[in-house]
Amino acid sequence: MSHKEMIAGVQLAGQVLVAVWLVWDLANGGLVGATVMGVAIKLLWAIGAVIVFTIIATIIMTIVVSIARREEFKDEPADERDVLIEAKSQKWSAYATSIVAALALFPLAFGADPVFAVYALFGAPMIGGTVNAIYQLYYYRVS
Amino acid sequence: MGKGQPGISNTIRVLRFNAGEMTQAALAEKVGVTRQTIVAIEQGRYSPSLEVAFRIAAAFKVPLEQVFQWEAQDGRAD
Repeated sequence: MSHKEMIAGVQLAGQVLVAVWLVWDLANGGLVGATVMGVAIKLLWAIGAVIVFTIIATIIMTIVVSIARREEFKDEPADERDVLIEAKSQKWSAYATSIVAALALFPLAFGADPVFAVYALFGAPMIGGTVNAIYQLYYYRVS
Repeated sequence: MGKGQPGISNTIRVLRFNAGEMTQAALAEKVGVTRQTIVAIEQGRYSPSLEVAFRIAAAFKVPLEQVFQWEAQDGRAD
């Protein structure tokens, strides 16, 4: 496992955690009486939590792997394979983000509550990021 | 540059052995790529760019065709 794979894994874990929290929140009345501003603030906190989780998890994982391998586990400068994998992963990520964002317009066009738009604005890049991390992990294994 | 292609093989493992059991990390440093990339090339999962292929050959001081071999599989370009 390279440092870049570990980062992708940590990002994936963070996005899964947010998805679980989001489902839990919606199942426990997250939409009841929700306003656009209230939901936006809640999701901004979620983004902040993901950033903090990613930083802390990266530090902890780096320390744990360094101890296990008995050598410093550090990121290396990206070479042509890393750049290729990043480009291929981002291509799929861009597809996912664009498709989810476009699909999110349909409920709004049919008169859905604008609160839905805030969730879509949050969900599209989150799904894109998840797709990016999954494809990175996949491409590092097969190419 | 691209995914490892069927029909392309390499002798990097043998060349490393002949070079005094050169480690993958040492070869990676000479070539200027990561160790993971050398592993992927050696296992045939990744075909490097022409530049990296030449750098690998230069690291072993052998011609390119001694490192990489290609065999047509579908009857084209042979």
